[in-house]
Amino acid sequence: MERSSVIKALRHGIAALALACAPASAHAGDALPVTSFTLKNGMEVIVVENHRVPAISHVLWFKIGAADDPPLKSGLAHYHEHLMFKGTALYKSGQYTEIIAENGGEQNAFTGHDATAYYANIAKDRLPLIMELEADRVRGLTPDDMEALKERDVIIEERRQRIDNLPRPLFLEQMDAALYLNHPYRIPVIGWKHEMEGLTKQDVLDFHARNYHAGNAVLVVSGDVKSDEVKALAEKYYGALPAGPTIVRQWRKEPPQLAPRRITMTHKNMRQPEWRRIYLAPSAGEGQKEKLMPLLVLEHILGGGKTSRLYQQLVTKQRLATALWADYNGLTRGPGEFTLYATPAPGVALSAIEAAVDHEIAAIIAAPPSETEVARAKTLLKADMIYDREGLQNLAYTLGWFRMIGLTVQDYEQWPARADAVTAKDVQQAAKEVFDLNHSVTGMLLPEAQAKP
Amino acid sequence: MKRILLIAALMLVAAPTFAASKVQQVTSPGGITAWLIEEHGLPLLTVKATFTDAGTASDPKGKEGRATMADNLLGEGAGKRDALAFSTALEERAIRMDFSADEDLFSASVETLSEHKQEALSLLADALTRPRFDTDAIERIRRQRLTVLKQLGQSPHWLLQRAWQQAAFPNHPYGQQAAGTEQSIKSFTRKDFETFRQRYLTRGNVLIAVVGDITPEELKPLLDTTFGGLPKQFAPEHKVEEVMLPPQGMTKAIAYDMPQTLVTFGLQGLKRSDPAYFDAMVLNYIVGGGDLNSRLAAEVREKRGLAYSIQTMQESFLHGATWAGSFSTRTEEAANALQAMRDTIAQAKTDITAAEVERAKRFITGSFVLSLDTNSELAGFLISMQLNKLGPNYLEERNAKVEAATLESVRAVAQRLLDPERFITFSIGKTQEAK
Repeated sequence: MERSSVIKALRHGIAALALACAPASAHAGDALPVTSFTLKNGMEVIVVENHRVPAISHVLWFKIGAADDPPLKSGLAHYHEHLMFKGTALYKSGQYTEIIAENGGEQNAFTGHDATAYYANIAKDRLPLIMELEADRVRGLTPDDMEALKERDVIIEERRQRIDNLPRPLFLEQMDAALYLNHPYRIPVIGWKHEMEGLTKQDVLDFHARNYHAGNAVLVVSGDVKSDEVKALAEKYYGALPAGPTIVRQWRKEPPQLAPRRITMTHKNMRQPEWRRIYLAPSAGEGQKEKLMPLLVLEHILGGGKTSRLYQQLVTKQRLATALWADYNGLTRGPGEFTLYATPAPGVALSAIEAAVDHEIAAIIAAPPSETEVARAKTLLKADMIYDREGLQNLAYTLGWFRMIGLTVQDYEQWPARADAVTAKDVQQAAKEVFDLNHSVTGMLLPEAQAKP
Repeated sequence: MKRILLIAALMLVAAPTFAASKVQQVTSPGGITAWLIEEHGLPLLTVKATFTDAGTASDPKGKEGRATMADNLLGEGAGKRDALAFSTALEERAIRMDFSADEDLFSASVETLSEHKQEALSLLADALTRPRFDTDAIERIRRQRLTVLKQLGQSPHWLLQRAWQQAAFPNHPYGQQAAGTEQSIKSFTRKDFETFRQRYLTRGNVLIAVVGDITPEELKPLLDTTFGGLPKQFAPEHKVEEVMLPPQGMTKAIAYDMPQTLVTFGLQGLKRSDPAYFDAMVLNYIVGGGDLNSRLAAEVREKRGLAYSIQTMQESFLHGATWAGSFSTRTEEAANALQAMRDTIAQAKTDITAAEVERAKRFITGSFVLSLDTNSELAGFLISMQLNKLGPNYLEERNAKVEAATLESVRAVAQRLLDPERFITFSIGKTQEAK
């Protein structure tokens, strides 16, 4: 079963780490061990103290992602992320990786539609080293031509490995392209292959010069460290970076969506059919943060686990499906998504699954859920926040991500109160608003022999 | 210049250690022992119970998939509660309960807010000692296992892995299909799972680890109420024999229509009890374990741009061990990538350098704490310490054992392990048959 969490994953992102998630204080009323400040050049810094092990996680976030890829250059933000490891004036290609490993650290980076992040987890006394290396590559990249070309082969190989080999990722690309008529979320983070093949080193250098500035960055340091130490070090290593121009992100917006979309894809390597529907949904980034919590409660009630309505009806009672879940992601800068997924039981037609799902959707629109259902969902949401206080990364990642989509540390601190405030009527209202077939795509992924659902 | 000096200075600093984590061995009045690390910083608790020799290798012939299906079923109703009531009891308190089976081990773990520890452990006791195995639940999980089997059958990774395991462990339970077969899944009855529980989930083969917000005095009575009801005797139906990989190498290509070819290659590895275990860990890091810093990543990805990822791993089972790796590359370059892989490994047999050994040791010792920053990770490590009889001080001692590896000892283990003639190399992708 999927664990609920406020942040599910970088939206369609290419993440090396799953973003687990979610806020709240361990004991009601406790303040989070979090401080934040801004350097003179506009770079924000968030410090999350966690003294469990003598190590730190250093994550440098940039408010730039694949949704900012220029026309005809899909995959550029991700290609740029790869070339961040290919050398600067001071450190040769691969040296960043080597130095961190020699110091017992782990590092990687990930690109999403909304943001890009670079992380290193390492012994606490190596914090100055990491800052030195990160500030250096923000100042400028000097990959050589051959390295850049080989790395382009690597990202194309990455696309084949993650997507082209497998029916489901290919299907999800088709679903996204149908769900979004105009918004850049319709284009995959990794890029379309024919455009990736044309990306150049110069594209990357221009992208870097435009976007990689202190004023566009948020640094999160978590672990066995004090806020004052981080402040002194951040001023020393990052303070001299130029603020850079103010970046205006201009994303195409969705026009009114007037018709339900349907996708039926067959694939030669499929054996087990599956059904999926994605609705456009409210998101924090589009100024609807007050709508998030009722939708998270709705997600739990409808398809959050074995006690959920869809699981109980379709899997346990009617025996139509063997797996079923709902997933709401509103922590995005662009539109949010509410997804429903089902694996049919042997011999069951997908049309029967769809009818049963639509029946449950109609039921929750018609009548508010019970107080028990709402209470159970709230308990889980608030407990997730405590569980996610554990570990070097969870809380730090959530807070960094919040900043990427325009939310603040305070928003995160208010999460439990927002959960408490949700009523059964709010959940019903949220269901009414989000379940509009005109704002959705329904998809069936089928074996070749089974062209008809 | 200044920057290089900074780095050099930092590299001399010792790897971080566990000062705070004191391991306590707690024995209940009823004689049940758990290893405990108290951690009161957050109101959370993890309890993990692992049953040895109760994993998928315990599946009798014809009953492949029994341990896996049993792990799916334990949380589906126990004691007075049917499946829905059991799930509701967990969700109402946000208790996370999980069962899993690997080749050798069957594990149960519970994470809970410490305020619900009594209920969490009472539910765990029900699941382990009083599972209901109701007909409805068995039929539902059977349907799930059958669809999962179909989904596995469409995964090239799984098809490749299965073929490789069968070749590496012929006529041994490690080569069986742990997910079960259509026939075995259809054949299971309640009695199969009841037999599994009574014979394999016992006090005779359980290891227990507890990490989090609980004191030894609170824990003692809970150990008895949670685990006291387990059957006393471990009564396996068959003994899992020690196994070595076949001495002759083997190559096989499986037909599958996709743009890449996936490759898995492997050799005999070292068991955890082998005196050269840490030398092999250092060797693995140098050759293919060290992410982008490994020799294989340098040759296949960095120099040739042939793969996004290539890695190797040493895997130590209770009764055998492998050293295996995998990569995927565009099919037209698969032969070149394979050759680069073979050459790299053949070379590593003789020319590991002192600098590489030092770098590997720095990473392995320095990154140790990074993988142990949560209750669950520590609980898992406490289980492995018990399983491998490493003693309660091992968290502090472990890095010294890594440091003891020398150029000579790593070269010796390279001589012993890296034999390209004995490679079992399987690939899946477009072959001539596929066209």
